Amino acid sequence: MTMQARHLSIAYGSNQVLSQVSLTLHPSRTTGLVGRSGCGKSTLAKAMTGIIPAPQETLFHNDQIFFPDLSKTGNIIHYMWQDPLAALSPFLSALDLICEPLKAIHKLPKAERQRQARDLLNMVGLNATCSVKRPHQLSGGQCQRVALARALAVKPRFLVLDEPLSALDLVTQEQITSLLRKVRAEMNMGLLIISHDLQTLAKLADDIAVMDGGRIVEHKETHEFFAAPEHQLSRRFVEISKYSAPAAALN
Amino acid sequence: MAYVDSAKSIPLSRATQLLRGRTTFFLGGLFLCFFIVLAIGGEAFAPNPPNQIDLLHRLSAPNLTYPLGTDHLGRCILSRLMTGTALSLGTALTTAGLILAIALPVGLLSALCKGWVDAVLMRIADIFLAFPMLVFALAIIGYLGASLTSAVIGVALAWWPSLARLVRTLTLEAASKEYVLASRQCGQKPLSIIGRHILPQILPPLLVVLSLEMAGLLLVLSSLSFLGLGAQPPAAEWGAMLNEARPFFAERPSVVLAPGIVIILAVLSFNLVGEGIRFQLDKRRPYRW
Repeated sequence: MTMQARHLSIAYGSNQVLSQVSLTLHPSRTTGLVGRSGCGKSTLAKAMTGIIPAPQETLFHNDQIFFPDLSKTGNIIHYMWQDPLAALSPFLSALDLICEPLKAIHKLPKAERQRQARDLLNMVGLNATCSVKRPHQLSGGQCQRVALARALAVKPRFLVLDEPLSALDLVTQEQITSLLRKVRAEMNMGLLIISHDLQTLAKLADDIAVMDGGRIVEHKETHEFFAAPEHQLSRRFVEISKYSAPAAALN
Repeated sequence: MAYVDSAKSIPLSRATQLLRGRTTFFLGGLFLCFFIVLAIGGEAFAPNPPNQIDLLHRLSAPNLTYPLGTDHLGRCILSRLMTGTALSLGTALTTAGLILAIALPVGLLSALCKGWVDAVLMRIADIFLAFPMLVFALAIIGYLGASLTSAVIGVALAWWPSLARLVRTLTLEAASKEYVLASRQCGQKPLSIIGRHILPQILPPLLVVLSLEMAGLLLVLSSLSFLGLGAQPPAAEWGAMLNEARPFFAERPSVVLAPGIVIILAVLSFNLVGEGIRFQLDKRRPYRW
C-alpha cells in the first residue's frame, strides 16, 4: 500500500517546476516536505492528487500505474488546500461542508452523516455554534479545522496537507498535531505534510524530504535528518530551527 | 497630506454611490411593481373593454370616458395599454426564459465538458453570432410565419449565443475556484457541483445581464409587432398598438405617444432594476470597502 511519484517532471513553458522528483508515501507514516517558497512543494502535492495533470506513468499506487482524477480518486489521495477560506464553499455551513463527502463517498443517510459530521467537528475542537456558520463567519483557524474535519470525513488512504497549521494558535496547533498522530494510527492513513515549520515536522514526521529548485535534494528519517543534515539547504533549515537535537522534540 | 485628502474623499464617493444604487433600484422597482400590478389586474382596472369599437368617437381627445383618448377604431387607448401589459411583459419574460433555457445548458456543457464538446458548441454559437441578431430573428419569423409565437422563437434563437458565451465564461471562472475543486475531490457528482457551487456563483451576474436584456427584448418584440411580424391585430400589444397608430400620428399624436411612453417606462424600469441589482452585488465583493 504505497503511493509513489517516480521521476515526475512538470514544466510550464520554459519554467521547469519539478525535475525528476521521486517520492513514496506509506500508510501509517508521515512524510514532511520542506523547502523554500516556490521550490515546487505544492506543485508536487497537486500533481500527486490530480489537481494539476501529471505526465503518464509517473504516479503509482501499490506499484500499479495511478491516474489521479479529482472526482474519483479523492478517497485514495486527498489534498487539503493551504488557504482554507478559499477551499470551503461560501454557500454552505460547516456542518454541510463536512456532510458533503459523507454523502457522496460514503453514501450515509442524513441522520448518520450529520452525527458523524458533529463528531468530526468535536474532534477538531469546534463546538455546535460553529457548525451552523459559513466559512466567512469563522476565523482562519476555525476554517482550517473545518477543512481538516472534511478531509478526515473522506477517510482517504493518503492525506496531503499543505501548511495545515499555519493559521492556528500554538494551543490549537498542539491539538491538531495530536489529532493527526491519532488519525494516522487509527485510520492507517499516510500523511504528506508540507510545512515551513520544522518544529511541527519534528513532532509529526517519520521522514523529511527537502526540495530545492524542483528537485528533492535530501530525504531521510526525521532523527537522521536533524542529526546529520547533508545538503547545504537542509543544514541551513536545521540551523535556523535550532533543532540540532531532535530527540527532545520527538519525545 | 495628499493621502489624507484622498482618504477623506472616499466616504463621500461611497455615500454617493450608495444613494445612487439604492435610488436606482427603488425607482426601477417601483415602476416594475406598477407594471406587474397592471399585468395582473389590468383588465379589471381598465375603464372600458379594450376591444370595444366605437366608430362615433374614433381618434377622440382625452376625456372622462376615454382618459387617453381613442384610436382609429374608437377603442379606449388607456384600456388597451392596461390590458396589453400582461401580453407585452409576458412575451418579453417568456423570451428571456427561453433564451436562458437554451444558453444556460449550452454554456454549462461547453465550460464543463471542454474539448470537442466545447469546440462544437462554441462554433455553433459563433455561426449564430455571425449574423446580425435582428436579421436572423426576421429570417426565422419569415420561415415560421408572422405571429407572436414566431417572434418569441425567432428572438430567442437569435439572442441565445451571446448569453451562452457569457454563461461559459462565468462557469469557467466559477469551476476553477478552489472550493469547487475541493468539492469535486469530496466525491460530489457533476450535477451536484453545478447546483450547489456553480449556479449560486453564476446566477447573480446572469440575472443582472438578463434584467438589462429584458429592456432590449421588450424593444425588439415591440419593434417586431410594430413591423407587423409579432402580435397581430386586434391583440393589445404595445408594439402592435404603435404599428396600428402610425398612419394617424399627424391627426392625433397621443395615439402613438401613449404606447411609446409606456414602452420607454417599461424599458427604463428594467434598466434601473438591473443597474440596482448590479450595484447591490458589487457591494458584496470583499475588495470593495
